[in-house]
Parts: sequence; structure tokens; C-alpha cells
Amino acid sequence: MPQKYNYVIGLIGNPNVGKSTLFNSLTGASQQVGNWPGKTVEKKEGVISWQDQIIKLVDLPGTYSLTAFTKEESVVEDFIRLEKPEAIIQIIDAQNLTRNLFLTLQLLELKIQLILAVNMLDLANKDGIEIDIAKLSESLGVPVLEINARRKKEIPIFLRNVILAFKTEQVGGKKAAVSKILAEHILDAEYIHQRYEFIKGLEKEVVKRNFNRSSKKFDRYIDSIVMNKYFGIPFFLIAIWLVFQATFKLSAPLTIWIQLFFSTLAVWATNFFSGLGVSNWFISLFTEGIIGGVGGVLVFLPSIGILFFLISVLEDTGYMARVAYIMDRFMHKLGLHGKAFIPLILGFGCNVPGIMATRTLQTRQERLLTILISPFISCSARLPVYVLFVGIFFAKYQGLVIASLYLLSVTVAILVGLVFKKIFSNGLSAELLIELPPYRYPTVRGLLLHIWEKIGAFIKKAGTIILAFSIIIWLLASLPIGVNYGSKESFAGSIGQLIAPLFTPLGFNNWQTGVALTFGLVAKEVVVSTYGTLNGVTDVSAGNAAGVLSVVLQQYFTPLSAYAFLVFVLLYSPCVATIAVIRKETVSNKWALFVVANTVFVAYIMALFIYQGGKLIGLN
Amino acid sequence: MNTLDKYLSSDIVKIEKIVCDEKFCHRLGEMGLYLGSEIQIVKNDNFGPLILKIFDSQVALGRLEAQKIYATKI
Repeated sequence: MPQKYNYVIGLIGNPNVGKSTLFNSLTGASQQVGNWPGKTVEKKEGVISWQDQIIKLVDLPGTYSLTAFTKEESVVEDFIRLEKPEAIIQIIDAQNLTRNLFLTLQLLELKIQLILAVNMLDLANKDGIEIDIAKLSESLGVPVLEINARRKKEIPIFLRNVILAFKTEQVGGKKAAVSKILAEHILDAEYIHQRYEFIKGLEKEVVKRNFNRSSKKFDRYIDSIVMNKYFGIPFFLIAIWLVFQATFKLSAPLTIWIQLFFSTLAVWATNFFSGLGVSNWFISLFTEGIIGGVGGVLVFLPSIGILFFLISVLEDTGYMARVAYIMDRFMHKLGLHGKAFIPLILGFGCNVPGIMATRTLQTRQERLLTILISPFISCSARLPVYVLFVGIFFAKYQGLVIASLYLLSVTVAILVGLVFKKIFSNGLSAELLIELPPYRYPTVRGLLLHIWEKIGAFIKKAGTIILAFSIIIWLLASLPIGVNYGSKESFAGSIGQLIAPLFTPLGFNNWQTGVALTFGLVAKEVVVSTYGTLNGVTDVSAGNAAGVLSVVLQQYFTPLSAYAFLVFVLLYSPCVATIAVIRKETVSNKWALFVVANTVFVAYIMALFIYQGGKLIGLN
Repeated sequence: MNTLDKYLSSDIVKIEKIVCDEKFCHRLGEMGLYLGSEIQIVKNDNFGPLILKIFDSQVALGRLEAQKIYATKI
């Protein structure tokens, strides 16, 4: 439903100025997250009601300037041209006025009603910076408001001031000094220089500085530890280890509740539908197909929620920018800068949020390269497959074998990254240039909104793509009519038999494995549950089932072919959810298909190498 | 005149020459690093990126990039 708004307002600003905090405070839960049409830039908008007015607030990308080089500029242009906003609010960090005003000057050139909202004045005062708000407003010819984005009770007053401001003021940029700057439209060193000279002149009039920088002591102390030449990396590794430990420990009980909920739901639904006299095929579709498929994926909800909560804490406090600094020397060799390390680390939990996190990277090439290697990172969904197989084939060396798979995962990601780096060589910019923001306490509200965004997207995915694929797989396993569910005679069985010969050189050519690998495309842990279903074991996670599967799987695999199989499962095509998110993030079917082809190719070669190589040196 | 990576922590320098393509020049510029700007070296470990203070903010700059920026000490 298109809604009528009295006003459309854009919110813009440098990164790390409190823009998201202000946006969250203003719009609360009314936010909608999407992409700008045809672009990979995230678009957030929210609705504010103030008295009888309805305002649509659009969060524009965090940017240092509007230049012809960035997609952010075209987003701002599109926004102004298509949505015809009544005003744009630029949020300014009072602690960093000079650089913030550079963007202000560019916005004035757009000839749109601009309102400046100066944030964190209290922190600036502590640093000995005093800003004459009235004079700043007078000099630039635009309304300038004070705001403390973290204080919710100031928000209504701010809103009133915003509306009063653009009702009474005229379009900015009317002062003589500004007009002079506006007249010159050159995008070179001279342009940059002139603007900063103008800003310096302006600051002489409106800013008073007393040099007692006591408040920065704490930041310097923390930095001396986390960015230390020797301790920086160990500190980071400990932090990441804690994040993963906390994620798995904290999510475990919640995961069990969700499992319990779905198994109870399945029993209840079976009884309920049987009582109604509904035919068996529908009950099977509902319990085995839909609850099995969608429920099997939703159990990851707590892990994803908690992981993102903890990552948001690291991000919002300012630590993640330091991680980029610490990891840069290693990532550089891959043609990536340190920031790309974060999406890859996230990928160990789940590739989907990892790929979503590439949004924080600056250039398209860098994002693309990170997205291309992300699927090789061993996500937590692959772990159940490893656990099942090592328990049966490598009982004595379980930890070692699983560790070798994780090591292989990282090695392959690095090698493939190096190959792509060669291919992209011209387009890649691995320049490291990032701001290290001051340390700040994250706001609870901001963190909760982060989690909600992530799990909301995940639930949506479970309800759409995964639901659809669950039904398709159920159909394949149930048809043609009359066959046993998941038997050799079903369509799924036929597919398994059709593709099984392809795996003969890798050491496993039974049809059940063909089916398991096909279904594993939905989610890698489905490989495990497929073996369960095909062999009449309904609950693979229960201990007693392992005995049955152990006997069956030992008929299909030798230890060598089992290892080749695990390597194949590790590296082959990512799950449909990951493919879908790659498609969404690259806005391209081509890249999504390429990732599938590339991963299957690499997996095949690696598994072939291991199986045939192992046979040559006499392993079995 | 020396490249930025040769200066030590807490040196304050004036930028004299930058070797960069148009795009990277602009990224440096929007951060406040342009011909004639005065910046402080906050941290230089002799390997890995440098940390600079530009206006009121701290910025990490890759070592390779720092080798393309010439400055004189103030």
C-alpha cells in the first residue's frame, strides 16, 4: 500500500557520526530495509508521526563526500530527483567538524534545503572544542540544530525544530561566501584544497579550541593494547574465540527448544490431520517436507541472532575498524584489505551473514572477491556431516580430521582468492584508508535493531526459498505415486542413480550419496538427514541411530573415500540460501551461477586428487 | 622531503606531493589528506599500516599508500 506522506526527509552524514543511532531513535521499529533500485547499496526508510504530520525518513548511505566515483553519489542524486524530498538533514560529529563540513559544502551545491544536526556536542566540549551554533547557521545560511542522538527524550524537540526549520527557511547556499565556492565545479586537488580553505576560514569564526585533550587518554590506552605490534593479533584471536564460544554455548539451549517445538509440532500435526481424516500424503508433506525442511533451518536462528549481537557490539564500540588495521598486513597479499577479514570470519558461523557483511567493504571488486571465496569457508552447517563421518571412519582421530578440514577450507579460500586476484588485477583497489572512530558504548536499542534486521531476513528466507525447496524435495522423494518415501524408485532415487557414476573417480558412487549431495544443496546438514531418511532412520541426531547408519555407511565408503567425500561436502556448491544471497548482493544471476560452477569444480578436483592420490600411495 | 612511512610516531608533517590516481586522490582528499594539509603520524610500527591524525580523527593508511605520499616535517 503506498502511503501518503506530508514530508519526505533524507538523513545523510559521514560514517561514525551517530547517523544510525539518530535514525533508529527517530523511526524505531517502523524501519524497512531494502536495496536502492538496481544497486547494492542498502536502503533504509522509516515513518515518523509528529502531531498530525506523517514524515518519511530515508537513511542515505554513510559517506565522506559526494564524488563521481562512488555509487553513493548516484543514490543521493536518485533520491533527490525521484523522491523530491522537502529537506536533507546532515548529521555532523561536533568532534570532527572540519571533515564533516566538506560534505556539507557539497550538499549545498545540490541546491536542496539542508538542515545541519550537530551531534555529540557534549563530547566535543570535553575535548575542548566549542562551536557557536548560531554563527555557523548564519555563515552557511542553513538551519543548524543541536542533537544528542543517544538521548531519546530530545527527539520530539528535535523533530519540531526540523519541521519549523524547513517551513520558515529558504533553500541554503544564499550567502555570498558560499555562492562563490558553488560557482566553481572542479573535481580535482584544487577543488578539495579550496573547500578546506573555506572551511578553515569558517572555523576561525565559529569554533573555539582549548587544547586539553584529557578525554582521549582512555582511547589511547585501549589502542595501545588492541593495536599493539605483538599483542594485537593474539588479542583479536581471543576475542573471536570468545565470540564463537559464547555463540554456541548461549544458543545451545534455545536451539534445543526450537527442535523440541518442531518435533512436537510434527507429532501434533500428524495426530490433528489424522483425526480430521486428511490423506496420508498431505500429512507427509506437512511433517516430513515442510516441518522437516523449514524447521531444520530455523534451528539456526538462535546462533545467528547471538552471533550478530556480539559482532554488532564489536562493530558499534569501534573495535572492528581496529581489526581491519591489525589484519591488513595479511589480507593485503590476497588483494583484500583488512576489513574483508570480518565477512570471512562470519562465514565460519554461516556463509549467509558473512556475504551480507561484505556490504561494509568499499569497492565492488573487493566485495566480489570476498563473496567468491566466502563459500569455501566451512560454515557450521557442514559440521554435522563431519561429525557423523569421523565418528564412523576416524574414531581415533576425530579432532585431527575435523581440524584438517577447517585448515583445508581456509587454504582453498586463500588459493582461490589469489587466482581471482590475478584475474581481476586491474580493477582491484586494495588501498587501506579507514577511519578509526573513537570508542563508544553501543546503545541497546541499536543492537536489538541489528539483531532484528538479521533474524527478520533469515525468517523471511526460511518462509520463502527454503519452504519452496523443501516442498520440491518432498515431491521428488514421494513421486511417482506409490513408491516408498525416499526410495530408489522415487524421482529422488532416479536422480541419485543418474549422478552417482560421476562420483566413481572420487570413490563413492552409490545412489544414496547422489541423493544426499543433491539434497545437500538446500542446506549442507541435509546430507546427514538424507542418509537418515533413505535408511529409515527418522532422527539422526539421536545416539541410537548412529549404530544403524554406521553399518550402512561402511558398505558405501572406505576411510579414504569417506575423507574424499567430506572434502567434497566442504567445498562443493553452497546451499540455496547462500546462492540466493550471492544473487541478491551481486545483483547478478551470472555471478551466482559462477559461484556454483566454480565451487563444484574445485570440490571435484580436490576430492579426486585426495582419492586417487591416496590410492597411489597405498591408502584405502 | 620524505615519504610518510619514513616519519616516526608523533611527527607532524605537511603534505607536499601525492602520487595517486584520480579516485584514490579523491578518497584521500575527502578524508582531509591533500596537498598542503598538515597531519600527525600517530603510530608507525615500521611494518603494516600507519595511523595518522587528520584534523580531529584517526585514520589507518596502508604502508604502500604511505610510500606514495611525500611530506616535510614541521
